[in-house]
Amino acid sequence: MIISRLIQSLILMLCLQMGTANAADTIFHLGVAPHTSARVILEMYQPLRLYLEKALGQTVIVETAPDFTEFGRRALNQEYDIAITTGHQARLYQVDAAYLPLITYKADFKAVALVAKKSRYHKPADLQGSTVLGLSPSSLVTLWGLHWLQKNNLNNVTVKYVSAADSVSHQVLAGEASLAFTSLANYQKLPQEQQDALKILAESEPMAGRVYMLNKRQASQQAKIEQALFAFAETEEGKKYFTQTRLDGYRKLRPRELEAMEPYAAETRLLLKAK
Amino acid sequence: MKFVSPLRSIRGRLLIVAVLVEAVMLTALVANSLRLLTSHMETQAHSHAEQIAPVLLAAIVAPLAQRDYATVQAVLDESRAVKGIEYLVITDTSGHRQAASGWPNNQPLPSADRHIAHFDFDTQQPRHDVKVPITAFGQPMGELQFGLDLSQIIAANNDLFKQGILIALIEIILSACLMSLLGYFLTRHLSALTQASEAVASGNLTPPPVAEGNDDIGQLGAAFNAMSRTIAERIEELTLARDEAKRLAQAAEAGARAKTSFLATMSHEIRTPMNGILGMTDLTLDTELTAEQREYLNWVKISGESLLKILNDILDFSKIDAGHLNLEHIPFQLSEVINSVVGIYSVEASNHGLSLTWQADNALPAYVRGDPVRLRQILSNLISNAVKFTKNGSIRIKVSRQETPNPQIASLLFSIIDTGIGISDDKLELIFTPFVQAESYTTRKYGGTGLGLSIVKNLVDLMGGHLSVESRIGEGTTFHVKLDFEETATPAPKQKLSSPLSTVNHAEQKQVLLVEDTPVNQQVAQRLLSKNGFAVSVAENGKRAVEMNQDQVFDLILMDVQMPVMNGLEATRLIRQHELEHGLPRIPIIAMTANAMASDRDECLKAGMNDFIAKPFRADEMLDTIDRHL
Repeated sequence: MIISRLIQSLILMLCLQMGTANAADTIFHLGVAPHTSARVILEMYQPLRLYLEKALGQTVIVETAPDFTEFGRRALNQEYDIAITTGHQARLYQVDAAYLPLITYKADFKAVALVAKKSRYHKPADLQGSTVLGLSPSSLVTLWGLHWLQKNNLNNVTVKYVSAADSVSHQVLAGEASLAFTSLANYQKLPQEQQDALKILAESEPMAGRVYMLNKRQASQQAKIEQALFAFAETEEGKKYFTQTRLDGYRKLRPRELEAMEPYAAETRLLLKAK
Repeated sequence: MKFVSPLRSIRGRLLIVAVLVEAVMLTALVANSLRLLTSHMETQAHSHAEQIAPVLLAAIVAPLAQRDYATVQAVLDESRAVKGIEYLVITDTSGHRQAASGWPNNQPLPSADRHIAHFDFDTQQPRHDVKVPITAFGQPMGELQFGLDLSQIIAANNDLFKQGILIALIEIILSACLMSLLGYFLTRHLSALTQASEAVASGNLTPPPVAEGNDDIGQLGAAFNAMSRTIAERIEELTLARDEAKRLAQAAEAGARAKTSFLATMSHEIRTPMNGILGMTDLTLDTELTAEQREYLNWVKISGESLLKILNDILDFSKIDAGHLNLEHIPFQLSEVINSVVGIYSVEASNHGLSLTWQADNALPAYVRGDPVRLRQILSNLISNAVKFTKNGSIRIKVSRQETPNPQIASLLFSIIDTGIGISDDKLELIFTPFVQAESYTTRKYGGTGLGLSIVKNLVDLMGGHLSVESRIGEGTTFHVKLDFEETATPAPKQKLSSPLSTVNHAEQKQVLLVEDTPVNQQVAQRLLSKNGFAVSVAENGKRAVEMNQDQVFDLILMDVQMPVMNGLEATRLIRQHELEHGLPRIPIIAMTANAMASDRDECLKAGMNDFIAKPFRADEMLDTIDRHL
């Protein structure tokens, strides 16, 4: 009696485990690099998630990471089916983890250096000796910012990294830092009064901002996924999404567009290895 | 003090009802309080759970989205530090447990509770298991399960229950005491009234007064006191009346005794000389007399016998009136009694020019059981009365047997029909009243005491019969006497009737001791006995009789009762004692006394005498009596 019950319990547990494993296998992981707070990322990518679920016929979850370094590590560890990240990390995943480039946004991705209008920092030289804020050391805007600091010979500037992209502006306005590096898109998402209180001290050239990289295990669905992504852009939700985010829609990557990110990718690779 | 069951007293019933009502109400109150508290705390717990979940979700959404499970674990640990949360577990959408605080990783999670049911917890710590899905902007991110510690609810429940029970018990006890006190003050007068009523029931008809007042119970007490006073007064009246009645009864009894004693004395004192008069008259009439002398003596004898008749009537009436008349119940021949009475009055009727006859129907029994003497007295009085009040015509006696359900009972109707003067209707009721005659001049014209019909009426009543009368003025009167006798086949013992002459022969050798103190009566009796052949010795008192009886053998003793030196009763007792002591045969002793009352006869027989002759006696009576004992 006891043995038969034990066997029944074991069978039930096995079934549950198998069910769980299957459920895990069928989940489509949409990883988004932590270019802003996790809540914002989750909210921002819900329309796309829902559309992909319908299109792919499987559960899609949006996830991110505590920082760009961890995101890169997970991506390299094949934990995402699609990884939405900056161009230099996309190049890294392409080279080091065989991710397949899919699409990017039509809107240009630019990094900006923000200062408070009412601060004393009106030109790069004013930053000498001050503390500036960056996102993760491996983020594109931070790497661009570091390059910008070098280019302006600002060697004695202390760089502080803040995980939450949307909080850097607060700290600058609060006077806790002289300048913050962030993306133009993030700046434009700030409330108007914050935008009005801030001033763009420097702005990068257009770069491959956020690139959709497909995990090689989903290679068989590449066409289907690409089609789904472009179809999403044509939906009402997609249009609304692109209007709100000012990303203008999707476009295919230009030839050698990722390869241009190689210098930043190399630095990121070093950072990840250092970890 | 008698124990009274609480259920039988108003106070007890009120107390029990009040305590029951209060117990029910307090039980309801405590139960409702517990229910409200439980409901409130469950609501609070539920609200707590609803409050915890969003906060926790808000805190863990970001780290979950980042798969920053260390942060998630930290959030869980910090959240569990707050009292009231027993455990927290996070599982991702794949069902993998990603963080847990307060719950072992290798232990399966309990099922979530649909609602809080703290009373279902038996041995385990009371807990409410809540499972909340984690979603962010519509995206499922896993599940949060946590357990709310309900021990506070249970503890509060238990505390409230215990304290509620304790307070309820104290309340009931206090209420019971208060109700008892109130009940005592409200019903103490009733209790006093009950005790007073019980005192009355147990015989104390005048208990101490109970409290009075203006309220209902006070008025009841006043009414009881009034009733008690009335009863006491009534009892006093009754006691006085009873005492008075007793005194009167005693006085009446004493009067009756005095009357009886007086009658006895008078009877004795009259009979004694009457015995001498009649006896001497008889003796004289037996001598050679001139016609004139004989006529005069006959008138003397008639007058004496009339006087004796009056005297006997008075004595009979007195005996009946005093209840001293005892009826006999012996067999007798009915026709013989009727014949003897008719025979007595035939001569008198003939002298009045009347015909006196009697007739009976064929159903008349030959022998019956009853009192022949009193029947004879009834018939004698009625016939005597008819003869007295009938100038001419006839007097008829009819005897008929009435139908009765019992064939052993002979119900006889004696009708005495005369053609006399008659009685008016308005006087019919008076004729049975003692000392009353229908007309005042009747006594003067016809004589008589007026006792005859009264005696008849009393005798008939005494014998259980019925007496009625029909009469018309100038046409006559009919008396109906209805008497019941027990019919018997046994003939009455034939009385040995012997004429004085017949005793002469066989009594020649008989020695008779005559004990008599009165010289004239000595002479009458001695002459009568001697004349009839007896050898007579005379003793003047009882003592002398005893002595003579011891010295000489007698065949019979005639014993007077009232005598100087020693009375007849004492002498008889000594003679009987002597006979007993010496083994001698019992000599017949016949009382011959003027004490003619029934009690006198009883005393004589009790003293050891064999028979009784009342003075004045006729010679034949005395000889008959003597003859029965020789």
